[in-house]
Amino acid sequence: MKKKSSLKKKAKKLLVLVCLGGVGYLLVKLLKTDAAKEKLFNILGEDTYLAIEDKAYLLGDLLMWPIDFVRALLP
Amino acid sequence: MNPKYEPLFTPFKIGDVEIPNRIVQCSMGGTTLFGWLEPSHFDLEGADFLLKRAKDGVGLVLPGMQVIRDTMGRKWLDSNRQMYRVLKPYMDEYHKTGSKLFIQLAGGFGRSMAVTPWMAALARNDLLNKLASPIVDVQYACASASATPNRWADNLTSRPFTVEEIQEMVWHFGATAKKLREAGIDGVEIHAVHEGYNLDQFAIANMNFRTDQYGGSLENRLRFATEIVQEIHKQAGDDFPVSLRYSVRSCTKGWRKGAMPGEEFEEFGRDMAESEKAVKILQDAGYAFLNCDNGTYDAWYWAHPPQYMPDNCNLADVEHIRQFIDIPVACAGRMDPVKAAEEIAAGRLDAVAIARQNLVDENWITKIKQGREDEIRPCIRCHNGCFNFSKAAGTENMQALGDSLHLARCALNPPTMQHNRYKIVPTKNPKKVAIVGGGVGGMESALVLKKRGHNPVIFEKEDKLGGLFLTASAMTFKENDKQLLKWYEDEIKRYGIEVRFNSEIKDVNELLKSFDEVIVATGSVPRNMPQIKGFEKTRSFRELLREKSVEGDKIVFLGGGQSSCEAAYDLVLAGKHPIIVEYGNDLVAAQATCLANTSFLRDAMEYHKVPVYLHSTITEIGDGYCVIKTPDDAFTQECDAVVNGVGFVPAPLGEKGAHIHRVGDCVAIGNLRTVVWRAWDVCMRI
Repeated sequence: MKKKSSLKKKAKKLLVLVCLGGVGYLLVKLLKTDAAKEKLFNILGEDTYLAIEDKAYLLGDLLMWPIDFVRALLP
Repeated sequence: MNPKYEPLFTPFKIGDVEIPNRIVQCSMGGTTLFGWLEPSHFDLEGADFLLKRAKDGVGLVLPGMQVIRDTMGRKWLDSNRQMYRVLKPYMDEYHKTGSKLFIQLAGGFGRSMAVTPWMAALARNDLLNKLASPIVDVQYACASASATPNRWADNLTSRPFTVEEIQEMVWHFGATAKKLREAGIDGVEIHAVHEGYNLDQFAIANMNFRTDQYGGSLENRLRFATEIVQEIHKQAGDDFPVSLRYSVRSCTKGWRKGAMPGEEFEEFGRDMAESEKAVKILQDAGYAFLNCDNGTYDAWYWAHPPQYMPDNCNLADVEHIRQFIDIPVACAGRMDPVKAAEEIAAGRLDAVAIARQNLVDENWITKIKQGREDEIRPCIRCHNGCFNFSKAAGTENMQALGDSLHLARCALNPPTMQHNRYKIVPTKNPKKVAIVGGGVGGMESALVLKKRGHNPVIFEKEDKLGGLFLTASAMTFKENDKQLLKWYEDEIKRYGIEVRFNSEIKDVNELLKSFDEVIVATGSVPRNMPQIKGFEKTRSFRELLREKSVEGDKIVFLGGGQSSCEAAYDLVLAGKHPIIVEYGNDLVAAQATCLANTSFLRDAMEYHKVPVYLHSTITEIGDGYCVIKTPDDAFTQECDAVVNGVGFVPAPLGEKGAHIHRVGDCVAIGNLRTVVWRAWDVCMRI
């Protein structure tokens, strides 16, 4: 019984993670559209928006390093 | 097409491969197919850029240098099978353009590795370097022929490669070339007995103290380069063409010391006499093409000529060396296409290698073919976006991380190598936009807005466009800057953008009554230092350069930044005697200015014997004199004028608001890149 409930818990956690990942992915996709960028620019103001955008691009670049490294290992 | 360009559009051969015309896109760090300083992968941004270049009509495209072993992750370039699988269909698409593509394979940087402070810290500490080595082995990345001082970091010496390491690398050159050929690549270029990179460090006697088969005689010093081409032919086939990036002369006086054009000096690197023998050895080893210029990292302005260098600065040397070999030769370095066409027609040159013009105008060849060459946006050789490795006394490479990851972007053309980030998207909601200020920021904003479908109007307080750039471009050697201003004026006319001259705006809010948005691009004003007695007597750059109202021979510059050094160089060329007083420990100690540009200015000041007082300031300015305070002394200097070179401060007009935006130096003092990119950043969102 204990084993079953812990498996259930793990499955739930996994589901939550997958959902969060999916929402995150869709959010990033949405934020990358020109309309969303224009909206954010108006809401945040040009200086804040441009500072955040710059950091986001740098973060994206750095995240690609391990991804490229792992990709190179794939057959 | 104007007939003067016709010789450029004739085919020639490298080995058995026919190149459709004489235009070679020289390799530029960052325009790589497999990533720049990253774990190698098929790079979509690079691939997009290179394909566009082929479509524009470049005969031979050389993507950015690809180190044979990844700097990050340390995998050999031939080990990523997935990458070559993706490359094959790309090359099928590429070949539909008719252009040819050679991959530039590099033997590394050696002592020229542009180490940043964290890299230098790793390289100096054996334990830290060992711990980091699965990700990045900086000592390996800096390894050279011999123990030689790093170009960038003080107290950092390259370790010598072992013979086993050299031979391991040679084998991988062959294995990589084989894989590239199988994927449809037309040839390879070996990087490089050129510019003081690793193979060049083996080739230059003063950088190679080895006593094994890779040191000593010229043949031995070129052995690394000759073994590479032989191994490539062994593994990829004898008919696979191999080009070599080659510096005819090093133009180097010593460690970190370059030679000025026309200077008489004792060559520290490769001189012409040795070069005449070297090219024969390299040809006999199997190289099928020499892609030439001059220089080393110590004389960087020969390989990456800034605006201060003359046009076609390497041509005479390249044409000289061509007489000693039978293989075709290209020349790079501020090449004027018209001059190149003349030389090709006369049989003195085989091809012209052009690099950065490809970044600033993606359609320059098409425009030549269509007789629209006056529409070509000129490269001003600033290196601010494409190549801003910077260094001053006591620093390592000061380049920002974001720039290290993205070389080969363009200060004047933001979509270059970032085409997903900067693009013209037509607006669904056209607006009337007032732009206050007709400098570069204002003009670039107007062009972006107009292309998107908005209706911009420029308000300029003077009777001509250009703003602060009219002063910056006034110097005699700033021909490219003047061409750029002319290009902007022509584009503004071509797009039918309204300009209201002699219209000084006092209140931006007033504009909002008749416009939907306002862009303030009012630039900057000179910084004041009232604590200096007599500071009000200083003269401005505008007075000195544009209005030419500063008379006299002895002009003192308060501040040793780029503006002061350029103006001082202009005065030297006019036979005058400038003096520079700088508070810091070096001239032009700016993070975003390329060492090729700054080292020229520093070397030029030394060569022309311009008195430079570092760690110094001016404490008093009077009529016909100033008082200079150095760390040891204070003395009165006779002079005709003191120019205010302490910098600028932003001069925005009015307050910001939801519909009032700022662009250019009125936001923060920068350079043309910050001005142009900010104009896009803002105008893409309006």
